[in-house]
Amino acid sequence: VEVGTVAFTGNAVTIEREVASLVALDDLDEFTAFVGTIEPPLRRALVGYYGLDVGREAAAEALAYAWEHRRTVLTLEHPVAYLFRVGQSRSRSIRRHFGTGHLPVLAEAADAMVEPGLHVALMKLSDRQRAVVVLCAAFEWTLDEVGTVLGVSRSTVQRHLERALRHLRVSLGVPAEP
Amino acid sequence: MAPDPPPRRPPDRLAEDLRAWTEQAGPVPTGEILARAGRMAPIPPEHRPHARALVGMAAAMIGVAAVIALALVLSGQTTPTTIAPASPGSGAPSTECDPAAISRAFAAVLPQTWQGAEPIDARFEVVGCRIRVTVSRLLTADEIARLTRDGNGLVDVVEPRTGRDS
Repeated sequence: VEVGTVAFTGNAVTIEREVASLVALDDLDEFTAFVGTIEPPLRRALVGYYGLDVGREAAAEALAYAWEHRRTVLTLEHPVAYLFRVGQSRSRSIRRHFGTGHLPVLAEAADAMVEPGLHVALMKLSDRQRAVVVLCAAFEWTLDEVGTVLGVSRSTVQRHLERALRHLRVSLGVPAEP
Repeated sequence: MAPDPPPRRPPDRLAEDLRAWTEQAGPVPTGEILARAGRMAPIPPEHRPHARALVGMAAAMIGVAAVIALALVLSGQTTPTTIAPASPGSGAPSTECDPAAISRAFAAVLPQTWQGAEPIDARFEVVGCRIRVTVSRLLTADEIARLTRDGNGLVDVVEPRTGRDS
């Protein structure tokens, strides 16, 4: 794996294997490559879990932690799962800043081409349901990969996914698949 | 006139909509990460005192404080009373002032109820390093001797007629 050319493939296991091969490189280059690999899945998982503002902040804080503890983090078997926990821990203070009880929307979100009812529909889901549906339905993570990051079993992920899709269909007025 | 609502996307494009929604939270560049890490830069390991060393330092400080406190207590208990009893009736002021001795003397003379031949009013007060007893009549030699003895020589008696210390 060459520094700077690592791309997120959508497969967390592959990513972690690639990250493990980067350990021998110099600190900053090594970390830049690490961020290029780990940032997209980590951010998506945290955004799915906490929403746009809090999720991105949590991802940034978790990656800052990763830089501070890079000697340890870069050798982990599942850095995304580990940093997801770090992001969860850091999210407590972030949520106090952004407030709780709602799913914040970034200011520029209004211009994005997103289904208008999707944000409200996602707000009605639980954190885990939202994370699961984002990671599985949008980014094609496997149930096992999502389970590893969220710390739940494959069957739990599947149950969350089914419920989340059902709720989203109802909220968005989409007929059930045959 | 209200603006037109944004067009709804086809309902079968949930995955694409979810991706678009998620990616609104832009990527976190390495520069931002390093800036955040710099903001909360940890103490380098070589400068970071080990937790065990901190505990040791705290224990040592507590130990030193305990030794000092013990020494103070013991010195308070073992300091000899330096007030030499004055000769009875002399009223000679002691050159040393020991609050503990004053307290003991004060407690010793207060129970004197002056149930002698005649009742007497007496006012007790600590003046400097001595106890001044102001009485309402002249005292007998025995009464003065008893006050002086009980007060360990620290008592000065002020009688009404002379208006001066006995």
